[in-house]
Amino acid sequence: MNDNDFSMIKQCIEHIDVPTDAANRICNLKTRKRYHKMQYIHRSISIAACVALVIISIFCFPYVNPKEQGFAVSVYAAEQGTDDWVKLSPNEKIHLNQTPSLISSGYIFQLDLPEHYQYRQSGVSMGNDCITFVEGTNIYWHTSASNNQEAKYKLPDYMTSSIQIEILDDKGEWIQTLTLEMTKDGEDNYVELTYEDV
Amino acid sequence: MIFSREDNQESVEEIFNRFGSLLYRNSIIILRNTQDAEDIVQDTLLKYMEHKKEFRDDEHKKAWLLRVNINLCKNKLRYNRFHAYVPLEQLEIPYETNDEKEIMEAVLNLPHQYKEVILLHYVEGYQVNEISEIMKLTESAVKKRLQRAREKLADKTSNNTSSRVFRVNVKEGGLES
Repeated sequence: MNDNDFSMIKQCIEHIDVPTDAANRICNLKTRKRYHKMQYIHRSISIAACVALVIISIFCFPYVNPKEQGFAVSVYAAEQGTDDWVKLSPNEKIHLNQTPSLISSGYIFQLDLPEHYQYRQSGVSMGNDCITFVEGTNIYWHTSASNNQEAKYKLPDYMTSSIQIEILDDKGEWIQTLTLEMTKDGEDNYVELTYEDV
Repeated sequence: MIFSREDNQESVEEIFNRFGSLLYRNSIIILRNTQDAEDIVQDTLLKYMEHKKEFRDDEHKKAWLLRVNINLCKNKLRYNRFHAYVPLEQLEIPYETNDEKEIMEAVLNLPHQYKEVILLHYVEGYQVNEISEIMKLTESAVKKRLQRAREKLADKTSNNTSSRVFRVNVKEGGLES
């Protein structure tokens, strides 16, 4: 490449000129300004939508973590007058329905624990009834036969007892205590659930 | 002598009449597309109108416009890299000889950073120190780019055959050479 070549480049490039119709279009800046404005609006809307999504997900995050929810576990039982299992609500007494699949008559409470959570319980009894914990998350309340009127030691018709279940999180830390307040009133049996955070 | 902003602010038409061709051909060479080149020239004029900058003299104004134009061309190239597009037409530059065509094809095929220094140095006549101010580079970087640009051009033009190439125009009724 020599100086002649570069002067040829200069000559060739300087011959390039703006066509008349292009010149008229270029000088009309209003259209271009409008285009830039629309670009700005579209970009702003996209950014605002992304920010809104992030903010919403931050606020929703507490509901994802069961610990933040306030209740680490749920307890289900069969209620009188319904066919399905119901989730026990705190401080609400429900009339229990006997569960037919047991060896002896009684009631089942199902614990719904988050993954890797565990529980430990304190033993309990109520009159001649028996409470057992099956490996997994089922609690069985085996009720005894009707109060034998001729028995030497007659049990009262109305009795209450409670099961304390301590919930341990995935790190093994005790985070919550469930209490199932069981009430025996003649032939009817009730349960009330309460929670207590540690 | 520094002009006041009011004296210095020319209208769009005045600026275009004085610098429009310069900005247009720069954009054409870098972008290789007339539609994009027109858009970039418009954007350069918009920047001038919006910024209302104080200029020392006409040369200062010209250098500022060139810098804005080159930066906008680079932005456009970067945008095109990430957004697929189909050019509407092939760029056509009138050549008088085949040698011109060969050299210009070589220039058009250079990477954009080499095209910029070739345009500023050989077409606009800026010296290395002036180019370094316009492009915000060190003088050694500008010299290096010029050297590499010349090497690439020499490489591309020496690879082509030196024999004459007959240009063929197709007209109604047959071929004309």
